[in-house]
Amino acid sequence: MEYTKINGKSTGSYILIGILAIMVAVGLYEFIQGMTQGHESFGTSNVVPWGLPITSVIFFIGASAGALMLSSLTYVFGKEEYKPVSRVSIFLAILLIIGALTTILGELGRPDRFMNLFLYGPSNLTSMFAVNSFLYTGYIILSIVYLWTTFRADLLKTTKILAALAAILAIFVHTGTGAIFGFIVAKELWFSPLLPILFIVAALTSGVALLILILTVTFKLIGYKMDEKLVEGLGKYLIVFLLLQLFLVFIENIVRTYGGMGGGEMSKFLFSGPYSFVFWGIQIIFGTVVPIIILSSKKTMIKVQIASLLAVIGVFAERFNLVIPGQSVPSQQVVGRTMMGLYGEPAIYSISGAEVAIILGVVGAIGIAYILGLRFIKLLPSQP
Amino acid sequence: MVRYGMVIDLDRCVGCATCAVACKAENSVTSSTPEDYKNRRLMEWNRVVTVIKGKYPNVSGSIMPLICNHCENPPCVKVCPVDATYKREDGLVLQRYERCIGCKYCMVACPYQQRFFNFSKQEGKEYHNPDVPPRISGIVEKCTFCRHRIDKAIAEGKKIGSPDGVEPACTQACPAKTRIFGDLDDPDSAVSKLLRSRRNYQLRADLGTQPQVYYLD
Repeated sequence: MEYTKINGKSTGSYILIGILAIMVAVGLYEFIQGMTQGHESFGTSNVVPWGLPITSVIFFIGASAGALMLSSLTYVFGKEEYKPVSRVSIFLAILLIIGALTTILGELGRPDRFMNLFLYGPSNLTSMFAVNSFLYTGYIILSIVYLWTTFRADLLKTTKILAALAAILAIFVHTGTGAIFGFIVAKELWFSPLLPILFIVAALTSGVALLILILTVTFKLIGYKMDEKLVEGLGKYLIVFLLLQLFLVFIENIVRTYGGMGGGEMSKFLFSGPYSFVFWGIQIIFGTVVPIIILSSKKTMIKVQIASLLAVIGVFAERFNLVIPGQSVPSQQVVGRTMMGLYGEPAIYSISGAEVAIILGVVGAIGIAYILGLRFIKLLPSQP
Repeated sequence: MVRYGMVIDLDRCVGCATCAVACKAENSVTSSTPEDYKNRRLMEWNRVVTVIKGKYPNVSGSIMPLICNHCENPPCVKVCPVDATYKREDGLVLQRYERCIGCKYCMVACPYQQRFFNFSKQEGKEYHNPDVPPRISGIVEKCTFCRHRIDKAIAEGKKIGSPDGVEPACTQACPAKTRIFGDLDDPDSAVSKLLRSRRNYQLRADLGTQPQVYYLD
């Protein structure tokens, strides 16, 4: 298996880098504004303190973990047909996790104090954030070493061991991310032992789907021929993950509807509140059921691409439905008694331009790093 | 051991919200605007709400002052990644403002919504009480049971707790003597006597947080 760099000196690639750089600049501007002036321009409130940035953080981490687990197909399970994309998927996993951590910085009230996480984190290891900051750091280091060993043909055995370790660590990383939410007893939509598992499945879905999209678009742009068999094969994995995800979402919600811990107000809000179209329309129908239907017919390249796009949107909607409606309803103070006035009403989170700008800035930075990576590192399979 | 707690007698509460005003003044809690109210960004360590039960015409309501419950098993302390919020030996749940990174994890973990994020720049705003440290934008703050008063009383050797000792501002300001503050571990304190003699409950005790603020009604 031979790998190659791309040329990347065409006008098109420079225009693309230019557009991405503008996104980074706008995001950076909003980030500095938020740091110096406070989060006044954000859409968050005291009831919904976590907004769209946290939604994209868990989406990025999920996609990263999914992409890394996918690379283990080649190195752990010996499926040689996926070897052409395994190196680039490790590279994407590294970029996505670094992007996720950058987005967290944009969301923190005092990003200048983030070193406190490493200084004081060890003294409170009951906090999932503190545990995760060490998990993520370890994950980044391990992935970089893992990527490096794939360039050394003499280290194939080490690569295989590292691949297994990286896949295990990716599972733990995403379990930890799910536990950030799953351990919170105050939120009915979050407090669930199933959440870390749902996170892993959603990670695999978004990882595979995003990888299919990014790779097919990259190959198209640089004029390489994509192996259709490979894409169709990845589509087979995608449908399995989508079915599993649908099943888990069904189980979790059926338990909520049946039991209704804490008054069941939050589930009612998810199913029929102002965000219900995101749940039913985007997450369930367009993000899960439609791609399953598309993939269950005979797979072609274009069908797998459309299904992947829908699945990525669906997983993002799933994250959104967890983070935002999960916080919107103020929890009851005395069970069975409702608070009068604004205090008892759900808070509506409106997406603000500042938050979107920060997220797009991170996406732009990931894009630039990806293009430059393809140009300077031998990541893509060489053409026959 | 000392374990500070509060008993709130809802039978006495008239809903005047004097406690809320007293708290704002005492702790230099930043002022809020009608915009902040609409955006749900009020800074109110102490708030008075009305809770209602049932549907018209079979409906009953009661007025309820809400403050930080200073839980025995505080979810906010458990989740803080930088150990900025901590439980002091005498039961107070406090926040180290200079260490907080503003991740807002404690805000989502608190079932009582008793943590408040500083959305805007605080520097230029006027602070009244020199005993209370000022807060900057981007950090989370909360009720301290007026720790500056308690610390001062300990240093000066004064008695702490209702009815004749040092009390938090909300307790002192209440015209109806709704709030009683004191040491829950001392069997002779006013709070312990009240808890022994009257039926009481805590907010959301089902979540296992063991609040140290008790309600009588």
